[in-house]
Amino acid sequence: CAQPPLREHAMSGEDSWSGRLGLQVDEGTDKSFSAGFDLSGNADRGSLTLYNPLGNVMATLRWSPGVASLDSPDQQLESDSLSALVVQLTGNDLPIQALFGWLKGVDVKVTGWEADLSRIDSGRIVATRFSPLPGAVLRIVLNR
Amino acid sequence: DGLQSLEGFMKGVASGRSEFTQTVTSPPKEGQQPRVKTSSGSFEFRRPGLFKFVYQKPFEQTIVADGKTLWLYDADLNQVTQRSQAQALGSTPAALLASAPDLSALKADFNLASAPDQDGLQWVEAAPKAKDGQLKSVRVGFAGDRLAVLDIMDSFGQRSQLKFSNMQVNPQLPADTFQFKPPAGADVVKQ
Repeated sequence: CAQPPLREHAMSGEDSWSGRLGLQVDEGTDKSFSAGFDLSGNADRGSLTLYNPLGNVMATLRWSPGVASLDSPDQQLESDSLSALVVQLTGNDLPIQALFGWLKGVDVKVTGWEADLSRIDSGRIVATRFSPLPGAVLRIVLNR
Repeated sequence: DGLQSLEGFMKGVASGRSEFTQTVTSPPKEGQQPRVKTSSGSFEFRRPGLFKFVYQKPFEQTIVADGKTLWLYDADLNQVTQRSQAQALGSTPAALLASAPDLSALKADFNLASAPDQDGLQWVEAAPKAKDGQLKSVRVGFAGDRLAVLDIMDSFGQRSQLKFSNMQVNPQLPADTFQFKPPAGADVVKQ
């Protein structure tokens, strides 16, 4: 039977994806985590919402040219740097903006990271961070 | 009324097994429809402190609280996350309702009040005492002393509704029901 699309077009025409992501950091396992997510928009203007398994929102990141914001039950922050807020939220500088390319099967190059897009058709990405240390593996699985 | 059903559930139902359907509705962004995600699976619990959610659809995910540790296994990610049960997930309404030892344990976290019957169920409004917490409001629906519905609105306007069906009350649950062993080859992450 026809597989439902992995990438949805919201009525406003922006791309959006839903799935789960897991980050495994080599040494500091307190920096490792997993969460459900909704990603929408594009590298310049978009949002990323993280969920716990029971569907409750843990945090929402929003960004547009020159400004980024982090909204979670216990903190609301603004910054001119999305990666500063990503580090604040996850303890890691995750390549959020490169995700938009990876999720479309485009191997966007990110310093220190290598993305395996060989299974993107089944909604799976594995990205490995070689530097800076500690190394880490980011796994993404898109919901059907 | 709702509070009598809740008291009956907390006192009379020491363990339970049921199926569940979870519907999560995100607040609509401007010009867009609300996003709805449905999942389903099985749910078991035993007081105090033990519960297990096995999500089967649309993807396989298992959450087990063994009284000390909360385990989350995502089959697609092949990753197990373990964290202290007292942390966030352990205090979600579902976890509290199912595994809190008694009503006073619930009253420590929520202001409880009966609400009018609706859809043939008796309801309780549980207002979280923590003002800046993750939850905005919780409604619990009972069919007599059987837990039927859990309706949670979080502080982002996200609504998560759990509907329980075929609830078996005080079943004999195998001793290892709430023990979790990470599958071979899975990454185990301690949070």
